[in-house]
Amino acid sequence: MRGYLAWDDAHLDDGLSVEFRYTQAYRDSAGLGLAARELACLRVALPAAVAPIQEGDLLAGRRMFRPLGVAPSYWDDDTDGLDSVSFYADLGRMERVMNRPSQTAESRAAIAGLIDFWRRENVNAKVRAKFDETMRREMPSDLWSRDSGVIFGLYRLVFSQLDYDKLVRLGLPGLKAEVLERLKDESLAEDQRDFLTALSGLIDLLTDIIGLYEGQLLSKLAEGADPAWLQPILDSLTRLKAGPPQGFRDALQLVWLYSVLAGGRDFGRMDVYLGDLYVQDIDSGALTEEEAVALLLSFYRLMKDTDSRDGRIVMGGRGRRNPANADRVSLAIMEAGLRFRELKPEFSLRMYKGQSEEVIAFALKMLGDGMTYPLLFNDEASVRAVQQTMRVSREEAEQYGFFGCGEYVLGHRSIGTPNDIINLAKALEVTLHEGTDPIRHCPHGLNLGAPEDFTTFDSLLSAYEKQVEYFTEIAARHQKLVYDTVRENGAMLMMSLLMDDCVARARPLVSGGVRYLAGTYETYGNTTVADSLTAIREIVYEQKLLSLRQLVDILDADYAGHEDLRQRLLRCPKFGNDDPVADAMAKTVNTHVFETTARQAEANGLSSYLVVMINNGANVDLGQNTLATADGRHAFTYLSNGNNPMAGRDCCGLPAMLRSIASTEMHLTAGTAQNLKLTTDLFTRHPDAVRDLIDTAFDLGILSLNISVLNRGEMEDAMIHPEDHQNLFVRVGGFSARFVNLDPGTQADMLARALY
Amino acid sequence: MQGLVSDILSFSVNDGPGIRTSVFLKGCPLRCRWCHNPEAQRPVPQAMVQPFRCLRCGACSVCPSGARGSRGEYDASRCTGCGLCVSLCPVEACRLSGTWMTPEEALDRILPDKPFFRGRGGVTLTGGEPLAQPDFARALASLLRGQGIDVVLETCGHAPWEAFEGILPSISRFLYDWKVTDAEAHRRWTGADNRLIRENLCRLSDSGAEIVLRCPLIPGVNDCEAHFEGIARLTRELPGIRQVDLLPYHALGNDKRAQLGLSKDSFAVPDQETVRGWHSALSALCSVPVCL
Repeated sequence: MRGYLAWDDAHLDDGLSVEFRYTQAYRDSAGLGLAARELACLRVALPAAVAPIQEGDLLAGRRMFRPLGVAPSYWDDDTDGLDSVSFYADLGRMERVMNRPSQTAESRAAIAGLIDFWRRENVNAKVRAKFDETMRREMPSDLWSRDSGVIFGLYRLVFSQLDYDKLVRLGLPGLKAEVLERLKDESLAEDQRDFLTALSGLIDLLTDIIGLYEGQLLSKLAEGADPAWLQPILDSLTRLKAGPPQGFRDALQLVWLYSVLAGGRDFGRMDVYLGDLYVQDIDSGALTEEEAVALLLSFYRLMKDTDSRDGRIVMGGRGRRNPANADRVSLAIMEAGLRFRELKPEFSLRMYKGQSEEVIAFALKMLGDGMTYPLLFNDEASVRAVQQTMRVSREEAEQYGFFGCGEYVLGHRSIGTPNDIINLAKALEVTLHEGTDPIRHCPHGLNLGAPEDFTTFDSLLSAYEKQVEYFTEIAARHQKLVYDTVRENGAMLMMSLLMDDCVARARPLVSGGVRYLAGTYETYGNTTVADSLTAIREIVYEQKLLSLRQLVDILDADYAGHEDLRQRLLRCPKFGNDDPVADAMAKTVNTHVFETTARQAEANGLSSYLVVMINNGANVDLGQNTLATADGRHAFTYLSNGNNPMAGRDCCGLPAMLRSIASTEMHLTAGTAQNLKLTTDLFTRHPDAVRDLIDTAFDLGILSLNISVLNRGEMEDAMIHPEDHQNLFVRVGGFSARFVNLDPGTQADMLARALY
Repeated sequence: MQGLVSDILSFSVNDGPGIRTSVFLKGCPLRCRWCHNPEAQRPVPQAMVQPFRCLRCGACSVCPSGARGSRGEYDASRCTGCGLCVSLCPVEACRLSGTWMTPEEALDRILPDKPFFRGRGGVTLTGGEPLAQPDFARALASLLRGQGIDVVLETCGHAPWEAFEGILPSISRFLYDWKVTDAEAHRRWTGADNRLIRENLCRLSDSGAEIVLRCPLIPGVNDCEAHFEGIARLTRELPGIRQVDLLPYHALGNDKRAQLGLSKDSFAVPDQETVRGWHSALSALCSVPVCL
């Protein structure tokens, strides 16, 4: 999948002139402060990103992404879907330009020099260059979707929700005034002054860029374009240079421009920051509801065309300053989503008792209509969980937002980017193989003994736990290393301007600026491990049907010739059936990794370091490098997903499944995703039951629900006739996907999950 | 006191309002040829064998009554429901339908689901025929009511009036089967005529009970004008009937018949158009809503 859809090799001139100027700016400003150097680079990169408006756009702000830049994360095919953080370099794209037949030997050599420079100078490379020996051994590859390993590092500063409410209230001039006011403080250190000066320069640059978009529109008007189309956009841009947004259109325009230039993908509490201006415009007659929906549609279209990932909008919840206005605009936000019928934006609704029934009804209508949005969040339980795990006041916890899969972050107050992932099933696998990876045939993890040495179940469980602790300690150090390296290389100016308390402290984002510098850790295969341990205890240690060594040999052979044993293992208690034995094991496995992870925060200077059990396709990718497991799962097939039962193993009905997942100590995490596949029939014929189901799930303490409404026949047919099912959406990952676009492994995983 | 329960299923949304837990009581006085719960007909525990799971290992061939062969074969007529094969099967290809339990034990199984009922849903006693075990059904219904749980009773109606009378105070709604209007045809297809069923239906209506008439429609059996008219007449004459539910024939019971060692039934599954035709014909005739 392409990261930035607007990006195109064709936009790059043979000489890569922008990239050379950018690199020159980077080199020339080496002696200045980091913030000043970053600003110098942005002064080249951002104007070069401005792309032409397209027919039908009601907002300005198309952009392209060049192979060099500064962003919280950049990703593309060339990086195998991996993120690059801060100063990124898409070397593959530059190599393609270098290899064009039109290049001369001289130009080719120049570009080769450029590539060579950035191969060392990009921040991802700088992070890896700092790996110690242990990290090099245990994290030899970043290609988590392709290579075998227990842990993998990610390189990004994603999912932070900028303070768009402040942006809308103050506008660029207001933000500049705030920075200038702060600069009057004579007690500021030199680096603080440099940082604030760079922020001020950044705001000037953004104002200049609005001018570039204006210029574009003026040229088009001069060429005879329809003024009825372009003049309102032009007027809005002009207003935004001079002051804060005056209406709904201005607010949308400004938020879009800021987010697209910052490279952000998360739009936070949109209902809050758009609510007042929406109501003002609708009630005064300045805007019709239809016009507002059209503007939102244009916003969504820009989002879709710019970046294929993420794009989250949060609605509802406690802690809104304007709930009535926010609810009114929520209806327009969802109405536009229903009409857009695309994978973006990713809508989320924070549900609480006393919430507008109209908003809830519309959300359920969207879901019943086959959209996989909005994600539903249990607001009360989420606020409590955030309060507890992030150790913040209730007031701050009420400002939680979340990433696409359900992980919490404090809106414009915290960074919680998940920069490491662990395959727990693989951790058990290397434990059973004396500290080697049986796929790569090389040492991996701790050698805690041979299967024969685990004479009791407790000794095996304890070895597995030690293994997880070992890898988690490394992962947490990696998270810190990413932050340290970002700090040493730049200021992340665009994020810093709209994150608390960077301006107040006069400190860049990860240099003491952000109020909470946190981290998260994605765990996969939790239920696979729990069910496997349950089965091993019963078959090997209690019934003594075979030795652990024999079992390991059979797993290595993927049950060849031992289907009877596999069937027997499949019949052992499984998580998701309200079975006390299986659920207790899941709790043991989960709580262990939750607590192990949380303990790493202090040692790594993080305000919190928490597990997220999220709902994406990584369980399929990681499963492809995991041998057969003792829960009866075949080798190289998908692992369990999020905090869900292994697909197809929950067979005691929905209440039992929900009771099982509610037994997980979710309040010790930064988010757990629960999938629920409901039938179209249930949604259309029994809406009351759907509502009762959601309310009960939330009463049980389940933090969020990820609902797909579909029927199994449709999915099966979609595998055979994809052309007929382009509109069949299912939720996979921090993004939704069309079912027909999923790989066969993920399709099989989805099909196997119980449909209620 | 113990009752024989063939299954307890959570999250049932088609057997009464809201989210419900359905308790299937085993044993039925009728033998409807299209029955989709054939495992709930006989009032004794029975082994059910799933051929696709069976490893043909022969572990079950020690069956004392000779119901199981050396390669997993199953002669259901010999099964005494002792459950030995179930305990020996390494892969649970064999399970026992029918568990004896006290009303209190049944209540314990149900109570964890109570949070899902939310004042709208509850428990549906079904089967089989719940009133074939009147004391157990009454005791369980009464326990449930004592817990503030709504109870719906699904019945074929073929039970002594005393059984209805005993349970009536605990039931909020009756899902009452009306299968074939013609008494003789009823006997032919279900094994008993419908006089007692009709009589109980009238008395139930007279008692003020809320009734949903559930009408299975089986091609070639009762998809005829006379039966439709019969249903409509009941809705006009009996004020207790608030709604008619149409239950078009489906073949899902055949899988269970195979597991019980029974031959498949031979009815055709009606297409959507036929079903819509039935629905509009009955809607035109009946004095209450007709639901699909």
